[in-house]
Amino acid sequence: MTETILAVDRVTKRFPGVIANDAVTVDIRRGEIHCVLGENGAGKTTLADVLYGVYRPDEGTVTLNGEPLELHTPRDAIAAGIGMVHQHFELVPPMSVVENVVIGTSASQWLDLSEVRDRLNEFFHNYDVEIDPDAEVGRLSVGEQQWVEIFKTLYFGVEVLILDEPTAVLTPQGVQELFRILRRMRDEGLTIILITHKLKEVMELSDRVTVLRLGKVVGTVNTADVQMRDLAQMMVGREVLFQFDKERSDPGEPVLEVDGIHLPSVTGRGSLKGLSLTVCAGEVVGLAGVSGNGQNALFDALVGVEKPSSGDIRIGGVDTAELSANRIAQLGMASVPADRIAQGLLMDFKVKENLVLGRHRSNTFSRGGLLNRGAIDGFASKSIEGFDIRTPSASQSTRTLSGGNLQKVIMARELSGEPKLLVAHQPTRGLDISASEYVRRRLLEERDRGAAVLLMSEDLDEIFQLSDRIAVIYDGRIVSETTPEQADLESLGLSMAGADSVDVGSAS
Amino acid sequence: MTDQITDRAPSDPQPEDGGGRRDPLSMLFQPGAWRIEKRLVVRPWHEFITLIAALVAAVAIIAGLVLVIGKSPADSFAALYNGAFGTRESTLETLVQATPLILTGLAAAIAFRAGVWNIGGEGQFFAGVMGTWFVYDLWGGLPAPLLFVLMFIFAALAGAAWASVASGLLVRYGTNEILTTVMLNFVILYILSYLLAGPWQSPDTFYYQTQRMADNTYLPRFFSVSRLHWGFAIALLAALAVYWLIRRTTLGYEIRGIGSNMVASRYKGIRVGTVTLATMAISGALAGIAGFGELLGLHHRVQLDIAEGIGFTGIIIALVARLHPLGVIVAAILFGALVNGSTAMQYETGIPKALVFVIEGTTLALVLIAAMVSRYRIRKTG
Amino acid sequence: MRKLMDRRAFALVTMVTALALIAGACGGDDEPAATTAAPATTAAPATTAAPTTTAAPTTTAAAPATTEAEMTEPAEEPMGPTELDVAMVMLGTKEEGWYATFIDSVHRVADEAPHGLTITLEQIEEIPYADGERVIRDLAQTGDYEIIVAHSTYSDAVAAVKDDFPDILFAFSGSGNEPTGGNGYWIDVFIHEPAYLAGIIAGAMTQTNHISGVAAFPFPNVNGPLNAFIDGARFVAQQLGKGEITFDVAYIESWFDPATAQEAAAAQIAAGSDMIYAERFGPFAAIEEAEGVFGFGHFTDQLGLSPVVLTSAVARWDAAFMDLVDAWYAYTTEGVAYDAPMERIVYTSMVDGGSSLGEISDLVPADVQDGVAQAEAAILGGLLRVELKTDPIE
Repeated sequence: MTETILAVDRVTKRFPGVIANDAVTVDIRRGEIHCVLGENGAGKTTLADVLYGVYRPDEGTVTLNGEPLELHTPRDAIAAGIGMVHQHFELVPPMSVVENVVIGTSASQWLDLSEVRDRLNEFFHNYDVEIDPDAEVGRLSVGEQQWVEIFKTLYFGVEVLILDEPTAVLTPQGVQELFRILRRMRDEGLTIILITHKLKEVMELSDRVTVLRLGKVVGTVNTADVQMRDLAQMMVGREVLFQFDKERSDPGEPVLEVDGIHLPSVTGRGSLKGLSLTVCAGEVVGLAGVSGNGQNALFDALVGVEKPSSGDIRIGGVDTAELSANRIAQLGMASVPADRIAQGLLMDFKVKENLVLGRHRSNTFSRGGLLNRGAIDGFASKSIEGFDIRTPSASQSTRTLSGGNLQKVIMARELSGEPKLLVAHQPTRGLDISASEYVRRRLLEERDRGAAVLLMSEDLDEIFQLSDRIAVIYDGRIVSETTPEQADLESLGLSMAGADSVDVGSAS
Repeated sequence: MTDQITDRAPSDPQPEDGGGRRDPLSMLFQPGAWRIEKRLVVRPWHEFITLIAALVAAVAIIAGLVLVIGKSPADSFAALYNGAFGTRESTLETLVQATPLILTGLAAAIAFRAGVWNIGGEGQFFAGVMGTWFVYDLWGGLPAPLLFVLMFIFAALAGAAWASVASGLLVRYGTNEILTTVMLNFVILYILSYLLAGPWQSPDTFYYQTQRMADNTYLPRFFSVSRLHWGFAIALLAALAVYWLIRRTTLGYEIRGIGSNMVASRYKGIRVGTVTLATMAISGALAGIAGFGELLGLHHRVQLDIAEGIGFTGIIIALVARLHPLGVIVAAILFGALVNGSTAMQYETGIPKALVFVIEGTTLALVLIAAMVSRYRIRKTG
Repeated sequence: MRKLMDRRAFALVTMVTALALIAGACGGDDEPAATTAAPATTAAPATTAAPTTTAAPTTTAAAPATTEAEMTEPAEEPMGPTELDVAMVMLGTKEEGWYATFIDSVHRVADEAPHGLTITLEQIEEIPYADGERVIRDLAQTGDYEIIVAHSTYSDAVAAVKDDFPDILFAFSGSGNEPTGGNGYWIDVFIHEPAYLAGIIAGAMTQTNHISGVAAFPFPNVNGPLNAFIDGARFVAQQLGKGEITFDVAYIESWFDPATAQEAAAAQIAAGSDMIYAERFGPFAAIEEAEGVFGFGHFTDQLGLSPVVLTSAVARWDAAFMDLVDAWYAYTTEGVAYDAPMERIVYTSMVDGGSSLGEISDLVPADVQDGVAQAEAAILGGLLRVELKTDPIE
């Protein structure tokens, strides 16, 4: 099993101002699971796109089975035997599984659907997957859709399968199921390249791992030879703390009291069905759950852009039912939305303008309807320094900032008013290790300052790391509560999957 | 096992036609070979270069057209330039043409900044004209300064009110403002036709028009040789005011905010509805003031034909100016020059009017395309 | 059928006699206030406009009228100007009847080379109302044009520009806004007389006793020929004992909208009309689709436009333009000040040369043609006066 199937030789790919891949050399062996590990911006996805024909390398060569590869399009890659499953699926939701497979083939050819169906059934049976080939793809779960994507590439007879961050959308159980199938495929001779930034997955699944940092290969190692800590060091170039030295919390008075709120799903952001929750001063409550179970609706209701049809929300004892989003914020609530770009920032604005968004009418930053530019500039330079926002200047267009720096802008803005309540929704999603670490530390600092922190996250590690209490949201309700000390991953996963008979204890 | 799978799969989806499909031309358009990407930041020199490219292309196309009909391109462009800027008079006349366009351009620009698509500049222009005449008709005997102030206020209010019909429907019922503003353009013209055929019609003539206004209500002119009137100064001040409003005030911040990202603005407590109403009122008022200026500066009587697309042209001007208030001034003057120069081209060189329209349209289209193109870049990836 | 023709021929003879009587009766009638300047002085044999009511008899239209004959020879003198450049500003295109007739007249006058002048015409099309002043000023500033002609909606524009260019003669034609005086001449032609003759044909030939008009706006210029058309038709129908004629008119509220005009005509035909006066373009298309329905052209000779056209009431600006040339020439060579009357100079009658009847279709029976010829002679001879009515038709 040491024969090289795919050789990447000194591949360089430049984008204006950035070298995404700098003389990257990797050899992928036939029949191995090879992880490509790196922080966001390390060049992992660029490398995958080069292998899949999306980009052509500026320098260097790629050889497959000893033959030089000349890829112009993904179509060429598939023809050569390389398939890829992206983070965002390329499926047509209203069409059936079979049709989605066929749609990737040449449309001019007449295809016998029943033949395709038979072959799919065979695949599914082979891998113990229960999917009806005639089911509408839009009705399948996210995990099942991912399998459809994978089997689609198998249908085309690829030898090398590239997966880009495949676990980002899955529950812990879903991850295990995926890994099981990937191992089976590996055992049957398929070569798998897995793009990820999650160390645990690398350790669990891979045979070998190549670590990228800033576009360069740090090294390729046998997974069995290394510890997680070593990989983390390779990845960020320094030692990483996996466990925060978190002091025990000393919860004070309840700050946020949510009492049986209902919110119908009118905006397509999920619904709430009698959700109750309390967050006290000086504690972090982690809200775990698979996405789409009402987290967005809860966030909207707390921020005040949607009003519950019944139930109460009180912040610091004040009922927010009749208050505008602006007034609620003035009660001392800060919020970090899940989608920074869509919900948190005005990308056309300057960095300094975004730093005062929401407080631009306050006496601090305006006077008589005029923006107080001196105060804004002063606050901006303080924030940029205090939160280590990497930007050429406070007047820089927000659009040019990286994901981590965008999140820092939001954090700087939201924490500047010393909020009594901080609602953070997926605060580290898409961030690399250093940025995530930074955000998490700030959240704990807020807790220690005495703020009530509600952390809504799909990253269970994060929940475990930061929370003083853990609540699980499922189908618009809190189905269980526990503490990190009492909880274990498995029961929590079951709870998230809707097995709400399982009560893992209560901390309130 | 993998081999097994491979064996059973069709060895290749396109064994035969795959070769024939790959001609050099199609290679050029393959998404993998060339990429069109949105620029993160559009720098002024990007815009400048694309604008120059657009003008060069326009000149080339126009020269070609002029050659086709057997005229001299050099003479034509000379006539175009001279008609627009050749003499002091023509330069001033270009500014006269630009005056209402600055205001309707600002009206469109501020609304578009907020992401509100006010296509009703034409109707709001007429609302302003009608507001002005209303005051004159009712209180024409008042001392001139007071009358001017009243006419100005009523023109602005009428424009704002007419725009607010659309924004009210938008905020209250979510009615698409593009549809309502366009339709309101027609509605106000029907109302005006009724007034001009009835209560407001001048008894002296048979046309659908009012009487000519008294001399003392004419906006003063700057030079004896030109029609350039105080409306131009009003337009310049309005541009500065809009610039100041957008950059310096909290309302301007919120206008830009809801235009940039309405969802985020809402999450951060900006009252989107209120800001929308305020924006449209300002937008309508600007178009209304354009009507005030045209009526008192040039036409001195209300007539259905006094706008000639001033409101719609304002939209183009705003887009060409990238919604920048000061850019609107430049774009409006350039457009005024084009209008002014193209007439001269018509009678100096005998180019038919139809071709003049083509020339105006081509230039505008290319400048607009340039505005879009400057936001993208094309990169060869292979 | 034969019998009918005989009766008709007889009736036409009596009709003409009756016309003479009417002419006598109308002779002393006063004229509509706004349309003075036009003479009832049919005695003058020359094709000139001789305003009887203008305040300044020595200048304007009257003056050139007298000088024209004498000036033809002195124009050869080397002192005088040899070229006259005319610019014409149009709201629409030069093909539209209103402008086409004027352009034709300019060319006819140019062919005559009055005062030995070489006359050239620059045509500037499709200038919106709002742009009128700018364009007229622009043209004046070039210094290339001695006479600038515009449409009457531009009278405000002419009023604003004319004082800045005292050497240029400005003219505007049509129902008009307001007179400007000085070097701004307001000219117009009325074509109710040929419209009356067309009405004679319509009245004689209608089978349904229902005739119609499709027109633009209820403006005097529009209403004049329509009223005359119906008067002619009613008169001849009465003479022939055909009974009461029904007349209706559709105002399409546009100067150019053939589709609407066609629809209006189709509706009128459906209502029983069989003679339609097409004051605007469009009705002939509807008439061609119907049986036994005929149309009448307006302003230009439209006989060739469609087989259903029986004849046209044609406008002629020759005299008006010639007077403008004369006024300019007198100013330029002798320093006779421009002094346009503070009212419209109307070339009312066929005698003035302001209008004529177009060619008559062969479909019109000979006896009817004879009757029309007699009536035409009566108008030209001063025996018959067609009354100008400018009120809208109900």
